[in-house]
Amino acid sequence: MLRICLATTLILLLASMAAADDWLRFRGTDSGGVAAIAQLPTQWGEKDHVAWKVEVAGKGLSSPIVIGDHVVITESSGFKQDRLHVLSYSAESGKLQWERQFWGTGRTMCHPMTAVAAPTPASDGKRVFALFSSGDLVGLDLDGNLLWLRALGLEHPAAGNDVGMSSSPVVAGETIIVQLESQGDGFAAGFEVATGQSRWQIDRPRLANWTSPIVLQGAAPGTSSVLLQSSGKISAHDPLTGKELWSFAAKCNDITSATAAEGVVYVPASGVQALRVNSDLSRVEPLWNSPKLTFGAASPIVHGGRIYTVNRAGVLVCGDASSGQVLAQLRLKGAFWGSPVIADGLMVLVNRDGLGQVVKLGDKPEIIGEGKFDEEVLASPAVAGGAMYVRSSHHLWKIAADAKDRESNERKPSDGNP
Amino acid sequence: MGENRFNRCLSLNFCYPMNFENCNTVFLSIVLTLAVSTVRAADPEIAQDLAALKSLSPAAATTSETQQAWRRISQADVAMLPKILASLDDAGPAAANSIRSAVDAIVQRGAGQSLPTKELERFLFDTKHAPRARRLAYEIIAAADKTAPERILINMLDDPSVEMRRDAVGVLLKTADELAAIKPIDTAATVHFYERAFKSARDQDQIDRCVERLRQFGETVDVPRHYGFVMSWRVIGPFDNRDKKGLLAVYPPEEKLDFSAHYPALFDAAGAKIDGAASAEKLEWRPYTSTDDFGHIDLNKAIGKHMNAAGYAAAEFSSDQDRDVQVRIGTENAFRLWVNAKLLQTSEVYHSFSGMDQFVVDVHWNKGRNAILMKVCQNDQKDDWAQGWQFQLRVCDRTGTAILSNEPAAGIEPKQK
Repeated sequence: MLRICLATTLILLLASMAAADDWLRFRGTDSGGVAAIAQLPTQWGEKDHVAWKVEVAGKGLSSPIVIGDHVVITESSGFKQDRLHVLSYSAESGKLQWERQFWGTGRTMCHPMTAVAAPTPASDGKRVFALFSSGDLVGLDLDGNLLWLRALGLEHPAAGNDVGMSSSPVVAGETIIVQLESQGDGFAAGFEVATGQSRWQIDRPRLANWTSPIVLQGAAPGTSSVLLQSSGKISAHDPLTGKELWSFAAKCNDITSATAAEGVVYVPASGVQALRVNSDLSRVEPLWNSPKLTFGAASPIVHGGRIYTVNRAGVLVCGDASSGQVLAQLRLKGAFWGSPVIADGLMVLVNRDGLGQVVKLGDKPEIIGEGKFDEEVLASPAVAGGAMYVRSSHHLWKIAADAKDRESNERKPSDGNP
Repeated sequence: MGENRFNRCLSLNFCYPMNFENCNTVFLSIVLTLAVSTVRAADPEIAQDLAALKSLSPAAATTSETQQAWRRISQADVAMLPKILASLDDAGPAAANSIRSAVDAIVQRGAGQSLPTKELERFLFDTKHAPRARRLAYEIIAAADKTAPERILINMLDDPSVEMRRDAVGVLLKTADELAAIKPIDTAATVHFYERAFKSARDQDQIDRCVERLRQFGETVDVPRHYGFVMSWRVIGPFDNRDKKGLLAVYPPEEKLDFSAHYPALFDAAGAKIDGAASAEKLEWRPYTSTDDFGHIDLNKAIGKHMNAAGYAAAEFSSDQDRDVQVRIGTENAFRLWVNAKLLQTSEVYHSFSGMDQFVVDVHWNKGRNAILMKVCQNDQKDDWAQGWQFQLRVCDRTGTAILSNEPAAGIEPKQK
């Protein structure tokens, strides 16, 4: 009996550890891009530190998410990009665990550089929620069983643009929140995670917007607000009702998403605008604005009292998170679409050409290693379970410090079909 | 035969440690009887569950009943696939996606089991079934049998499923390319293959490829006719679109299509003409025919370059029967579409990405003349990439096959060859 109890305790402990280390949405569980636990290699190449590499058939700019042993990605395929896929790979082996397909019900036209599978899926740890540029939103359990689906593109036929939508959903408590804004129509909505039932819907500006919501946790357990960024303002909303809690007018960027750390929100807006949110999430006050913290498509990232941005010229700009003062700059190689991640004090940035650059952080950030993916990379990496998952144009990669031989671990889609 | 039945045995959990070839007749009878009765017994329940999924609406939440129905269907034997696929024939968008994902689960779980290949092929070749359901049947067959595409696609060049047709055209194009690579070239045969591929191609990339090859061989190709672009229009403008209010404003052409009418040229409230307005004091209808392969009607040429402007383009289309068609539009500008004076589509989007078939509108064509009216608006953006003021419009069926006007009407739309 004692053994059973111990075994059960161990399983629960391992399960909770895995949950703490999951990467549940765009830029991680807190949307900050910083991994809880991970020691990544500083270099990787054809044979080194590639735990596995699987070929992915469809297009997708969405980032992987990781829930325990599930690495979930989305894809779109077909001449009209109207075949939508949700796939789960084993984090351990790279084997395809399941794939579910759907037909796009809304607009599927998009710029050739992007894809209908541009929004990153989200998870509450028990379910997966996949949103596509077509407005199709599906809820699945971790075994791939369909829980619900919503055709938001049919409900809001004008809420889409033909460049492609990319705002990723977030989960706050028992609500999944989507933000779809375009010239034709704009709305944000919350849905029950278990059934897809609408909780609320609010009108949003009718302007093109590709930014993703983020969730702010309050000091009291279980309290949170969701932040919606549009070109004229950033506003906080009650996840259960959509009610606006506060807003701050600013010329916000419509591509680069905000980030938050320790009660401060860093908003891409004419440089970076820092806002202090009070502990019950009801009020906001401006802290500083730094026009010199310039950015391109990558979202800002905050770690160790520093804020980092990557500008259009491919320069990593390091600022003081408490003042916005620029402290250092580091020229990187190439242009960046995906956002960086930080693990164990090291930042990994993957440029569009698929070159990963590992930067040691500190007063004088420096590049200490590189790794190649040899394909275009537009998505942001995910870091979980001591490994980094990167989606390139034709592959999904697992990079881990203890992986050595890639050749024996390369899979094609058909290898993993159960 | 033996292997198929053996797999069926396994699928029904008859785990018997013996070589199937040694089964005696009695055992065989029991196995088959049980197999058939199991499927039949599942029929009413599957039908009930499919009905539950088919009740799903795109805007509605899923109930625990429908979740359970999905799970039961996802556990069905692969033998049930044709029946489940058939349920897609009249399924709405949410229901179809629900059923489609359950089929994925069945196929995944049933990997290695014997598929009802004959029934699936019968389903595939029965064009009464929904094109996407047939395509799904094909993909299930092709995943299990690598020789299936070669056997099947040869019959699919003119299939109602655009995806099946695309794959068939792809095979033909590959053959044509291989022929073209053999020296000396058999020009007549090679051209024949490209022409046949062109005839069936409906996707732009494949059409482009056919056109390029055929023109390399000196062949004349009527690309607008293949797509069904409406090439000849009458246009009038500019009308006022300052502050983007012109799209919803009602100007005379919307009230009555009178090609002999003329209207005062545009003046603002202060009496000054709007940005770049033409010097003419009257706005009149004028003919404009596209010479572009993709039927672009460039209002910067047809009317003149203007900002903050709305322009109208009208065409008539003669049909020899009452029928349903699709009008497909591509434009980077805000627009409205009327057919036979009925407003069918509005887009308020300016200078987003655009392309062919960007907007697909289901339209009912009357026998005789049908009037198409487009209103296309330009805003005040000064960016280089925002100077386009144009549209393209084609008439086709659901597969993208061109539907052409039968005769010229009132001198607006010349008869297409």
